[in-house]
Amino acid sequence: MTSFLRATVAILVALLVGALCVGVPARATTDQCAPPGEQSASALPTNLATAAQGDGTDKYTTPGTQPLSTVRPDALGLGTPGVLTVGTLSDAPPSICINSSGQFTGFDNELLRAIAEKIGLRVNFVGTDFAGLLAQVASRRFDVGSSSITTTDARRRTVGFTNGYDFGYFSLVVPTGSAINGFGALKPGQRIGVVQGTVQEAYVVDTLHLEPVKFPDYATVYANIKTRQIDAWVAPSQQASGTVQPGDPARIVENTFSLDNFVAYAVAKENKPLIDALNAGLDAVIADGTWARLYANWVPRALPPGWKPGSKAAPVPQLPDFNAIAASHATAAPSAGPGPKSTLSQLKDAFLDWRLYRQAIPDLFKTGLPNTLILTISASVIGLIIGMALAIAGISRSRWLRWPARVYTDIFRGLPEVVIILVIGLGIGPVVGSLTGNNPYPLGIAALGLMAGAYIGEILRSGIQSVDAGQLEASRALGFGYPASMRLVVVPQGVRRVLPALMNQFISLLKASSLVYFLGLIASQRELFQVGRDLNAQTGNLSPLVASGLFYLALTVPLTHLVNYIDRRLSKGKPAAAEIPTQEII
Amino acid sequence: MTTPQAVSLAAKDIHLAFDANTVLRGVDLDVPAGTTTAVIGPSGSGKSTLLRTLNRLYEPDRGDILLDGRSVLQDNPDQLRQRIGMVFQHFNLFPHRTVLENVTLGPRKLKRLDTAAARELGLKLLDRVGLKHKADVRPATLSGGQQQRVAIARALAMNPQVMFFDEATSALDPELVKGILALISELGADGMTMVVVTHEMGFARSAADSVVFMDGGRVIETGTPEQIFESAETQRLRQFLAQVV
Repeated sequence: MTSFLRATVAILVALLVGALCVGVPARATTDQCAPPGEQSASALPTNLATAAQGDGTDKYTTPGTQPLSTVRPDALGLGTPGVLTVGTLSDAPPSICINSSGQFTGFDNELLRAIAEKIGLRVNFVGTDFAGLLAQVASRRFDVGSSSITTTDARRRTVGFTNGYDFGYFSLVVPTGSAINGFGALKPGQRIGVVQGTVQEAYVVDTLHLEPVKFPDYATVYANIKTRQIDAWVAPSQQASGTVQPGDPARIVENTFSLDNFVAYAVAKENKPLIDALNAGLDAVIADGTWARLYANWVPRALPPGWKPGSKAAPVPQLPDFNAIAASHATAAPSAGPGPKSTLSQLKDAFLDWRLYRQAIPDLFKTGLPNTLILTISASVIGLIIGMALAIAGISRSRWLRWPARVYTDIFRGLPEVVIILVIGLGIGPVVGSLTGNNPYPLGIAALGLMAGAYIGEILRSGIQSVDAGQLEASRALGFGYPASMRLVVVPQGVRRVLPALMNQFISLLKASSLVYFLGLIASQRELFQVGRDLNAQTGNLSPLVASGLFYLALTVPLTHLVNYIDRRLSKGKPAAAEIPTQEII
Repeated sequence: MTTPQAVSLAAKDIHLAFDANTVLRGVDLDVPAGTTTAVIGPSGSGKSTLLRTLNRLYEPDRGDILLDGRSVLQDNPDQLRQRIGMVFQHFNLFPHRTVLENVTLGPRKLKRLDTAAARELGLKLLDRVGLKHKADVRPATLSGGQQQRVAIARALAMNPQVMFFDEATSALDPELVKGILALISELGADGMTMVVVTHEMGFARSAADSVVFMDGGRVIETGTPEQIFESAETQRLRQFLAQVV
């Protein structure tokens, strides 16, 4: 059996290492998280729909800013003094993304870095998901939210915003061959994809009066467009043009634009000093040309008429003539891109891109695997401690011990894992922020551990209760008290009987550890799933996720077989000669 | 093995009920130092419960327990039980520990004996019950008779002043019963104060100094083996003996 186990592990490791070493020649990477340069400039979309035009009055942009020299970096209400903690995402190149060396970048984040430098702050980027971003900014988990956030009145009820640094088109993306040719063609009954909590969702609901299909992130919506699971995607235009690649079975059919909803950084509403400081910094980077340089490099497209970044007093940035550059491309570029690929080759590309495996696996080994193991093992230890306490309390004769244990178990076993993680991570996070330094990692461990405790408690309780009552009696007759009898005689036997169930719980926990991704982790804290997810978001290819899946299998499959082996051995008994000393197991 | 200075054991008017179920209804018992008392009676008569009340695994509702003439109801029950060894019908050995560990667990943890001294003591006791060669195996690999010998050694390891046997041979194959009974008799002959709940009438007759017949939670008759087995006074005892002998 052990040899079988060893063989299984060896094969899995060999597969992984093999994928690392087999010399698949690296093709040129199309890193979507690199600045495309001003030569890729696009003109103002000519098919701008007028549907979303607001009343055009801008009542939020400030007339001017405080002088940069009067900003006091120590009076900005930052979570960590001197450091701007920024919640961002990785899936919306070129505005916000994570590059191939695992760093958060993109136009929005590079601009924020420049602004922070003006103010005299360091920047610490933390990945999160969009649905939770504004709440996390409002609760001061992050000082700033940077995610191409379009400012809307609804959002202003939750958070405050800086002046605008970019503007937002919406693009309508449809699968190639679709009959939908514009926003006007959208009707009830169609599956219209949006990312949950975005301004596009609000646009579909409030302006188009349609019911959208909500997704957690852009990469997932786009994957659904490509496989024709949805009929259309209402996307931020930067994301749409950054994501839709030539040859993809999807195209952008129309754009629309809303002048009064510019793109800005989110800051906690009451943190006026930080908003003012960022506004001052923004005007400063516009004045010294940094804004124009970053904009031309990352997101080169013509400014809509009547809009400029920064406060009303900020100078108009000097940008190259994007319309002219775009026009010169239009004549030079071949009119037809590569033809659409076959379904089979699309599937192969999506799952079996060896280059991406080679790119993903080192990160999965160096970052993902250790973090997954740390999360799982720490949570298991917490779970075992809580579980043991719950089990002992659960079989106590005192109802004052039994009832709380019962209630705890019912609650934590009855809630979905993701709810526990979000509630503890986002809800408790701000309360204990000073203790954890706003680091969600320990909270993730705590959430997983609290949850595991409930299951482990039940497992241990059933194990302890299955021990013959004569064991406790014999131990007490020797002169041991109840606690010593439990510790020396009953619990070790009970635990031994439920080892297979405990191992299964460990496997569940290993898988559940991927949910910590919801809490927002910095690059070095990412576990297996998120490492795969980020590279997936960055490339729009599923291969990195498949790679991270293989890592999970490499861990769980041997464990599952180990469980079966222990189970068989416990039920069959074993020869005296081959006995494992029990203390080592327990 | 030297028996510590023998002590007497007595029970006065012990009552015990589990909720509505009354099990002991005023039991008196008198075991002089160094003697063996056999407790006989039909199933459900309260014999086993009486033993567990005497070492306070169950706390009596009423009555008194005297060890060496002194009431022990105010003592720490764990310390009381260290003075009274108990052997069970189903052995109740600890299956997750070796035979030797079963014997030495009490002395090591309760008497703070170091590992070497505990091992020496354990091996000596195992030798006495004839199982020194099985010291390092798990109890599950032993026969019932061997397991009961280990259980006796385990109880003796705490150097008790009194020994209780609760139907110690009832779960054994017939051919193994004799050896265990011989071991118990031997202990009695060494001067240990003992209370033996048993269905082995031959043993009660030959090895006990006095015999107690219980029924319905009461002591019906007490006497020497001759009095009980030759000249029973009550109809109930005669009826019982007629059925079991």
